[in-house]
Amino acid sequence: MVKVSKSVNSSKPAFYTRECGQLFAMEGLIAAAIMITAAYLALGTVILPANADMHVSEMQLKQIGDDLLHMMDVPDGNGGTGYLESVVYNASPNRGPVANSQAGAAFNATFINYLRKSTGATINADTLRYSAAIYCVDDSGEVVRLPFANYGDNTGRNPSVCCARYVAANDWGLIGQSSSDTAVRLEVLLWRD
Amino acid sequence: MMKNDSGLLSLDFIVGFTVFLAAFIVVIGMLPGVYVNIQSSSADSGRDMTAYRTGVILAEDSGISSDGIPWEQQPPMRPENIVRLGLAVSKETPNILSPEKIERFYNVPAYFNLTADEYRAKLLFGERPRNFNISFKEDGKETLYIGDRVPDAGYGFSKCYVKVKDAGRLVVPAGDLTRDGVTIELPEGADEYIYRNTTSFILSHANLSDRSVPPAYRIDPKTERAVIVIGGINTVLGVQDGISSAVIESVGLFADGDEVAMPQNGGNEPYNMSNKPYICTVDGMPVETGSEIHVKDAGVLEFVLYPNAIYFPNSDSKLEIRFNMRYTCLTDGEYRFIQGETDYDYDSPYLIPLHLTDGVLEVCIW
Repeated sequence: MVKVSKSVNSSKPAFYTRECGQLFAMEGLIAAAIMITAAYLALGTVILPANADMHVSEMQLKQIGDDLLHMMDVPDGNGGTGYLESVVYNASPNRGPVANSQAGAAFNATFINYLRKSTGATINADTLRYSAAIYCVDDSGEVVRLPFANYGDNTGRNPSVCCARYVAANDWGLIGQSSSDTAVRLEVLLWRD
Repeated sequence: MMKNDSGLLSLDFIVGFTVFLAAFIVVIGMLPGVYVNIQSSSADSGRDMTAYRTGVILAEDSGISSDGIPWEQQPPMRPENIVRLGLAVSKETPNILSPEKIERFYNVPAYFNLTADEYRAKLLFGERPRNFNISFKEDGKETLYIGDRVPDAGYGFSKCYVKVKDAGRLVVPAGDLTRDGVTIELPEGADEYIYRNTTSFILSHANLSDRSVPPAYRIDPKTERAVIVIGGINTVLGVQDGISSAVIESVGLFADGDEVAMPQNGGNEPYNMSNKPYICTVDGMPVETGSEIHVKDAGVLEFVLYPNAIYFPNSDSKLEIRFNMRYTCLTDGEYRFIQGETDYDYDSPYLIPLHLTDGVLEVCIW
């Protein structure tokens, strides 16, 4: 192409020179148009995959668990304490095994009651199971896991999701250790049986 | 001739590029179709995603309208002003639902009468038209639902646990409104004496919008109904034999001292279906709004003021709900009438703290 251009410039009248120049410009314009059009169309066809697309089932469990813990932590009246706060208070090891056991049973009753709630628009199969534990920090700074309540046993075959909420814990303490007003992590593993 | 031929070759080149460009565009244009096939293979997850999104919007969003007025307060003939539906009291209070929005959304009582297409356009937002069933049940109440019957299988599902905010309630024993006696003397030769007075309830916006009260427990008569209950009127007025009748002649609403014009039928205000700013019931029986309310033998008088932004034009505005009373006395004597002013605010000993009630919201999409 360059040779042709030189040849024309050297031997042809001026109007031929202008014509060839216009042709090269047209090629450039077309190339630009192709690139812009291709880029525009290519970008327009991009679909970003969302993780939720691949984990819809887990997402539903996660939402149910998070909603439940949230609602159980919201006081029914201004100035009151949420249900989780009251039940976690009794779950503190320094309250003794009887209070701890009663707290676990009370949590079970409430949580299962929530899980079974339904509007009746669909058949509400009672297939959700869970295991709850409380995580706190001991005097040495180590994280301690305290099994709290469970409904059904997960043998590891059923995929579960983890829902957690930090709950205010007053006068919380492990046996033989100091107690304080703190926050503990209430973690619920939720799965379908 | 050779130079002319070389010129023709360049034009051929242009034509070739044009053909190539056209082909390229067609090929690129086919690519979205390839992705559509992929999407259709995961239709189940598409339904679940729509159900999830719809549930979250309803439970966590308060909705929006094109003119800034809360969507549930739009006039019944202007549903087009609603941009997006949502049931939350506010964005600060996810999963805490407003009873006013629930009533409007489920059309109980009939108000907007939204069609299925309007629900899709203002809530589901999908390009693909979906069938839906959105149901809600508050503890102790009947299930509400919109949409079609849910099929046995093949639907997307989402469940949201929520709480419903109660209305602010001021419960006043009638005895506390009738502390002071009034001496009545019948005119010479008269058989009866008509005595008129007023009893008022004052709602202070500055007090009710107290920021120290969390939004979930805050009383807002601009967006939520306010309830006044006067109990045991019959034990006060009913036992005074000299009073032959006691009626509330009229109810006046005064914003910062100026009477609020009662809306007329056909107007845009207020928001409730019958264009009534309030409803009143005596012992559970509704009384025609605007007519006299006989209260002498009333056990419980319940007055429900529907929300309206015009009641509080300024941040420190006060709304006075004024009951204009009329008593007919047959004999001379000292009588105890309902009278005086009562504050409707957080400091009042008569205010029942707001209570949240559990509920569950289910969305089915297919």
